[in-house]
Amino acid sequence: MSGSSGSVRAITCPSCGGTIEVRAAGYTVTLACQHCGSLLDTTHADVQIITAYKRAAKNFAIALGTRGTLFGTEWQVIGALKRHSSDSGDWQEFLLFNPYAGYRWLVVAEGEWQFGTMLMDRPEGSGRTVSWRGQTYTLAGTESAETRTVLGEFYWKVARGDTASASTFEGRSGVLSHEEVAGEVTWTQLAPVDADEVASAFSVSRKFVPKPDTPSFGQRFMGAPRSGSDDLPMMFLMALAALLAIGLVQELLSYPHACAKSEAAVTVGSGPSSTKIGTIEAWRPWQFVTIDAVSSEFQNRWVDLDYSLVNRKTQQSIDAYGVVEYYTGTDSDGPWAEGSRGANTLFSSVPGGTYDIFVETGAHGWPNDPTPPANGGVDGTGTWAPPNAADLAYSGGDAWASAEKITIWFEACTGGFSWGVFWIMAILLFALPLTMLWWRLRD
Amino acid sequence: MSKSLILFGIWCAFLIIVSGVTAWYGWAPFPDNDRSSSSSLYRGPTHK
Repeated sequence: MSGSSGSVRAITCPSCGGTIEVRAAGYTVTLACQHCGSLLDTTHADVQIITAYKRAAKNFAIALGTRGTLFGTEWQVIGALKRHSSDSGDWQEFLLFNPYAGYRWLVVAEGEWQFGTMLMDRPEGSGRTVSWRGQTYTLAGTESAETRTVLGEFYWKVARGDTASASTFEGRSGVLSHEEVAGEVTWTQLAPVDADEVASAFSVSRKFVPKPDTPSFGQRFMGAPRSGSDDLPMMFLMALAALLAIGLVQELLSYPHACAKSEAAVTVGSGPSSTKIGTIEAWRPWQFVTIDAVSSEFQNRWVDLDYSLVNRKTQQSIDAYGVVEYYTGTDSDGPWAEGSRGANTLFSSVPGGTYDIFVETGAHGWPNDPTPPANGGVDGTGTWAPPNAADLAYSGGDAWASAEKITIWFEACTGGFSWGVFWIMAILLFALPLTMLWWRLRD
Repeated sequence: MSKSLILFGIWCAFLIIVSGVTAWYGWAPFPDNDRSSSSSLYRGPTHK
């Protein structure tokens, strides 16, 4: 059962003292007293108060004066508060009155209703745990609650702007609310009530019921703690699976492989010399071409490798550069070594066709070239040897006595794997989940 | 499956397709055929 709204609709005429009913507060410009005919301006204080009341009474889930039955008792809503805290947001409290049962509370926050009963016996204990009637309750949180709107009647002095320290204690049998204002403490037992039951008892305006905060799209994507969903582990798995797929795609699309092999012996300190590695057939419209070079043992030398892919049909040349270099030394921290005796050179976007592959080699010593022998000489036999044949004895013992030579074995193949593309994709895949992880951990 | 997971899945699929296209055309961001000639490069250890 619900009653009609008990809003204030009457003022006293300042001229004759008669009661004037205001039916359209907020819209009425001039008000006429039906007793003495006096015309009242809407700037009249009493009319303004009625207008302010109408404005304040809006947006409450239950209208003041509404009657309803809960738990077998008929209650009337005689007071209403709008309150706010930075942690909980906004909520509404309705003071219920029954002349035999006394006062009770209805509290609504984030769409959920609670029926409150003020405790007559104070719980025992302090700090984080209290006990009441044999039940233990643990502190769930403390916040500062501000009263923003006050409407109706209350059994204590309450005003807009009042702040109270509000603590919530949770136990197996319910919730206890502790509020303290200016040293005065109030304990209330709060029991959940079904929203439909409240709505049918009190004609609740659902659109004015405080709703839970909806996270923005960005918050939901970043996984706000209250969103309840955690997609982050799945996102990491998806990124990893995608990266593996990318590696597989790159590898599969590098086929077929057509290869050519050769070797060259390069004299250190002599001028550049040219060697033909071989001929390869590039079948795909576009492909990588990879040239691997492995050298024999040397130290403190480098070998420039200027490659040329010459298209037999068009005679166009695609050039690239590689180097094998290896340096050693000793300093205060002990021996050190730097460089590699192997080099991998990648040609990209090579059009289909038949290519003759040439390499111009030039070996140099560091910090200075050894004196080249009179007869110079690069011996390119074109005979392939396995890479472990690079463990040949270092022949440069006395560079001043004989021509120092470095042997290099070449293998040129169509196809290749772009680590640049792979790592760029890895960054693009993992950037978002890593950012989300950082965002959550920063709090 | 949440909307964010679906969007991320679309993003992953897009990157797989892009990598396939780059592999088909033999494209790499820093190929050796873009490197400058040997004569202009310093050679020697960087260890101090």
